[in-house]
Parts: sequence; C-alpha cells; structure tokens
Amino acid sequence: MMRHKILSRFIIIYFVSFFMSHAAHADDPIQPQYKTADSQIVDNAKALRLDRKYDAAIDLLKPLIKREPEYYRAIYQLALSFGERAQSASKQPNDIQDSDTWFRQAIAQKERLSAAGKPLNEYTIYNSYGWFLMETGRFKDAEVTLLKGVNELDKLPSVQSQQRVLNNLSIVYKRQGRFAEAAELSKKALALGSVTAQKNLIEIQQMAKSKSQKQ
Amino acid sequence: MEEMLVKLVQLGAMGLIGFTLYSSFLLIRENKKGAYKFMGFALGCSILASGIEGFKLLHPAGISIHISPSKPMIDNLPPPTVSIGGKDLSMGEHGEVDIELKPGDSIKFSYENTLIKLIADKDVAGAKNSVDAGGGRNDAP
Repeated sequence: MMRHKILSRFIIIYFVSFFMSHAAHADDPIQPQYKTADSQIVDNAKALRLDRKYDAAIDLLKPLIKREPEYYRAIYQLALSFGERAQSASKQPNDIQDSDTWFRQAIAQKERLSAAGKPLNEYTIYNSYGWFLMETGRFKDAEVTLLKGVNELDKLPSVQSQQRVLNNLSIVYKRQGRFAEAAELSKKALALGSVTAQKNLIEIQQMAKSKSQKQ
Repeated sequence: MEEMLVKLVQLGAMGLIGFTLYSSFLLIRENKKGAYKFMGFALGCSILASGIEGFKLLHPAGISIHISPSKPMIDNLPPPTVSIGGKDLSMGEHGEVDIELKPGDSIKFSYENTLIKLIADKDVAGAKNSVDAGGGRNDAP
C-alpha cells in the first residue's frame, strides 16, 4: 500500500514537472517553426542583455542567426544587444553600425513576411529602432520609424509601450519645431496616463506660444 | 587701415586739384601761354572726380560678406537661421552663408532652432530614464 502511494506520487510529480518544463520552454512565441531549443537560446540571450552582459548575449545569438538567418526574435535581440553595448562602458567601435544593420534586417524580415501574408504579431521594434535612431541623433529617420509604431498602436503589448512610442515621436516633432503635431501626440499619451507627456505638453505649449509671439 | 589709406588718397587728389586750379589762376594773371589749357585740364579733372562721387551716391555699391563660424559647431547642433529684411537665407551644414547687403539692409540671426535642439536633447536624456518614454528594454520579446 505504502509502495503504491509512493509510486503514484512519483508519477504525478513526473508528469507535472514534464508539463511545466514544456510550458516554460515552448516553441518560439512569434515564429513557432523555431523549436524550444532555439527559443531557449533567445530567452537566455535576452536575460543576459537585461543583465547588461552584452558580450555573452551577442556570443549566444550570432551562431544561432548564422544557422537560422530568418529568425526575427534572435535578430531583434542582437540589434538591441549591440545598441545597448554602444551606450555602455564595454562599447566597441562598430556597435552603432552593427545595431543599425541588425535592426534594419529584423524590420526587413518582418515586412517581407507581412507582404507574404504571414505577418508577425510583434510591433515593439518600431519604438526600439526609433529610439535607437533618436539617441544617435537621426531624428528624421526616427520619425519615419516611430510613425510605423504609432500606426500600430493598438497592437503594442502594453499601455506603457503605447505611451513610449507616442512620447518619443512627440519629442522628434518638438525637435523639428512642429509643435502642433508634438502636442497632439503628447495629449494622446497623456490620455493613456503618461507622466512624461504631461511635462512635455506644458513645454511644447510654452515653446509654441513663444514662437507665435515672435511672428 | 585700408579705410584711412583711401581717405588719404582722396584728400591728396583734392589737394592736387586745388593746387592745379590755384596755379592756373596765377598763370592766367601773368598771361602765360597755355594757361587756359592748364586750367581747363584742372577743371576737367575736378568735374570728373565730382561725377564719380555723384555716381557712387546715386548707385551705392552692395556689400558681399561670407559668414562662417570661426569655431566648429557643436555636434549635431543646427546652425542659426539668418534673415535679411525678413527674408530667410539658408545656411550651410556648418553655419556658413554668403550674404549680399544693400544699404539699409539689416541682418537678423536667430538661434531658435539651436534652442529647440538643446531642449529636445534634454528630453531624450529624460526619456531614457523614464518608464513611459525611451527605448523600453523589456518590450522586445
């Protein structure tokens, strides 16, 4: 009787752990054709990147992309790893250029699949790349990219993601002296509860007022 | 220095004309041969000089200037805008511009774009550390 009880408990634990491990390491959430092992590599690289271990993240992702050159999530994480390393103490001379290349490759891959009728349900890249362009002073390119993000606002994963893309594009417009468009975006972000938008909106209105008084 | 030299030459020319006229008067008084020709020459010179000055007054020369910052502009800062008589001129990438000025023209330099850029840069720095702007490191799947 005792032996039977132990055996049944063992079987239950075995199955629960099997299903849990399977759930934790599922196939890729965006491109399910990439199986658990590859998806796991990307997850590990992401964790390393968030832990600011950029070299290790890049070392994990490069061989994977060499083997699977159309793996969107891996390319996106590699672009972020180069971009964030460029801002860190361990930056390398080509980091900004590499990040730009991989970002463009990820977006091209996404748009290619979309044109082929297999759109990827992932839209945060427009804010990530737009922000990268803003940080590197390429405001005109940032505008084009962030606009794509704003056009897909409802498909972003969280309210904060929506606030970010709106606030970032507002800054880009403000940088170009396009105060009416900047204010409109800040108002949208404010309606979503953004604190940054509130500050920006006051400043935009002051700048617009000052400009109209001069004219 | 150049201006002073021009003034000196002008004064010298006026003095020479005056001296020639005075000499021709003396020559006429002494009934010297060719005195009238000499006076005519002096008068001709003075009329020519007055004519040139009169023409300069009626048709003032424009001034052409080239402005270029003596120091390199701060990275990525847009150059100031320049307007003459309310008309905007386009400046080069590094703030250089060729200006044609007529008498009475006024030049206006505006650093508004530069200020906007500085404010936006401050915003970018602020957005980097806020949760509702910037890159969103966690957003990427």
